[in-house]
Amino acid sequence: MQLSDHVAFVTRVGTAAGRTAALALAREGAAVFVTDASADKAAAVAAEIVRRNGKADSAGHDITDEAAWEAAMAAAKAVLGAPTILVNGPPDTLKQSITSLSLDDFRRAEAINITGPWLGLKHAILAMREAGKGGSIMTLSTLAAKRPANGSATNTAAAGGVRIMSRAAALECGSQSDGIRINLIELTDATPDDELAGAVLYFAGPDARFATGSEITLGAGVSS
Amino acid sequence: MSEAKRLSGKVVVITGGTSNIGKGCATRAAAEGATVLVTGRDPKRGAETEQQIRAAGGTVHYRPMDVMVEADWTRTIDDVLAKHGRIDALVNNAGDCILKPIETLGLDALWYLLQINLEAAFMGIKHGMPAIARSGGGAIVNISSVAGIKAGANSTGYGTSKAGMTNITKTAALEGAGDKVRVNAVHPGLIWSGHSQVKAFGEEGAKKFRVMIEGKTPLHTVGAASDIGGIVAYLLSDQARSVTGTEIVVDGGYAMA
Repeated sequence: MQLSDHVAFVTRVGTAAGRTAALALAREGAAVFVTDASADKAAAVAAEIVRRNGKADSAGHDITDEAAWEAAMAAAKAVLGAPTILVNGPPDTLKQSITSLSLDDFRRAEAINITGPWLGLKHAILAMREAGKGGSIMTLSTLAAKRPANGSATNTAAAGGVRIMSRAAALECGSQSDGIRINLIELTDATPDDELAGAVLYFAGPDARFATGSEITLGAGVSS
Repeated sequence: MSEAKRLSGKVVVITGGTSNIGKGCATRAAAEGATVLVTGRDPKRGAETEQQIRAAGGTVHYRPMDVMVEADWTRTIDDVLAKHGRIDALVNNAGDCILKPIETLGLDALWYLLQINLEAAFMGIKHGMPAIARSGGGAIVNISSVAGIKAGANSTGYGTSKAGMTNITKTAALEGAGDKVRVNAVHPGLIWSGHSQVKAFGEEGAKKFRVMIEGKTPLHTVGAASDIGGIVAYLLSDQARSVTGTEIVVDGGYAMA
């Protein structure tokens, strides 16, 4: 198990992709702190990990709220130790034309899809620097940054934003020589669990020690 | 890694597999259960590679081959199909690097770089893709370079040949998709092997080059061949079965800095 000494923090585990990432990390031996806006959904994933002989704990967590990040990170540190891995769970995608979408709905989506991952970067980097062991951060995103579609303006804004944000954060971490790597995984709703697990474990593990500011795009299969 | 053996049962051809990045890919593919065919121009290095990978319990065979010669490609592919019955993957890795200002880079050097980096990938795809398709589908990985995505002085020849590999990768991904042949590019940053850099720049020059690159790399380090072996093993595995036409950068952050 390549992640035996690691603590992972995974958000939005109430989504299929968030849950898959958490289970994959646990399977490789990481202790996993799982969060979701729904405390019940987060607890269910933690229970699933524990049932499979893994180590996990959970919290309800509004990723758009900075105080909630501080509380969740403190809880993770207290229960499992300082995270060396963060997975920012997938965005909340919505398909709606610009002209029919209200500003409030746009803001709600971008709060989850951009503010959430930004706060995740900020508080994971702070926690990882404090622990001094480096770390691996990855954000789950969509193909919308590369493949805009009718009705995807909100998704493209988020996917394009987090894509470049990841690189900027990778540069910031490099400038501090803190040993923190930051990468991106782009996926689709149809990405099978084992494929997402493969990409998550690649970036989380020692194989990717020389990869930062990089991305893996799943489901770009030109035939699909 | 504990998900080892992702490549059990797969027959993998790796050009330039007897040194540096190619050897790193071969070592990892064999460790994950593949039957690995390494090609190269130096039988002595071929024998060493066979010995080292077999000592670790891997299955490997060296085949002499010059990737710039089309007859070598058809012979290699035919021989591998005859002996192993299938080809599941090809890693177009063999290549060379010459870095010189354009005023002093001869046209012959430009042609040589285009031949060994770009033409070889073209021929590998041309002859490898149908063989992989007939085996039921699989993967091709083209080892390109950050020099193909980020301009750098002295790389009009090398960078151009590697940039061409990216385009051929995406085009081939489209052409191969119907036959379930995935084609991706990996862009390594500076992968330190010592002797190849010393050969290119001399002892002092290699040291200076490494310090210069490390200074421009966010992770402040150079890579090892095993770093590329890891991503290539992933790309050849079924975990990456929807990944095609993409470029994966493994460079310590160099290209974006």
